[in-house]
Amino acid sequence: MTDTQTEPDERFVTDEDNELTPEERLEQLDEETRLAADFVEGLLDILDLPGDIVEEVQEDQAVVRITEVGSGLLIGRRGATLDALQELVRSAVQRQTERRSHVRVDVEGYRARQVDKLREKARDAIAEVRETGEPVRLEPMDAYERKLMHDLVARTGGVTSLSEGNEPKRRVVIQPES
Amino acid sequence: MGADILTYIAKSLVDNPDEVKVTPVEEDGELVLELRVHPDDMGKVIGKRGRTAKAIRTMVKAAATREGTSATVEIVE
Repeated sequence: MTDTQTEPDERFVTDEDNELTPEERLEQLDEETRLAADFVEGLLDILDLPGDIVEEVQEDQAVVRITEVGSGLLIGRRGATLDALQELVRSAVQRQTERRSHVRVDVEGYRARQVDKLREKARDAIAEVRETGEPVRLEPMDAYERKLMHDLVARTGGVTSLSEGNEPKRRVVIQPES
Repeated sequence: MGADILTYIAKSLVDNPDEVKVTPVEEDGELVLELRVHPDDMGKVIGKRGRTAKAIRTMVKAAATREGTSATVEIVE
């Protein structure tokens, strides 16, 4: 892979997941979410932090929501500690399941607010692409956020999207429909 | 707390949790936490392009901040 590689990816995910039945997929997500919640619970214990942990599993996403922590400790500046927590949860879950983990972690709704902001920026970018006819590059995002952006673009007429660059700088490009 | 959290995280990431060893060392008045794991588990605590190691350091630093101290993590081979 080179830095300039451009390919539509997230909209055409063809990894092992697609071979599972929806029930099997849900079972896997349930398992991953439970493991993630266990890890987070142990972490809160050692940090001597309170917190409610809610596991949320839907057909296409699994989230462990941590609330009532009463501290920004797990979020950090610009979400840096939350990014670290996400990486640790992913690694801890993957070690046990030995497959890619899809569980997301959110603390006090930080991620949810972030996604709202990203959607807002994407809508602005779509308007710009329509007005100028020129492609617009969004900021680097993780795979989950990119998928949300592709979905948003797909629901909108007159524009298409693709991803370019390598992780963690991979970003969505919105362009006029040819 | 830094050492506890580091031990917990490392044990969660490796296949040989019994071989996780954390040693607190003072270096120039700074707390350094030396992390040793089974050689087969090095990749697990370092991760792709050091991503996991970076996450471990960030989390341990955050935990230390809670106590008003600082701590750095050194992964020892």
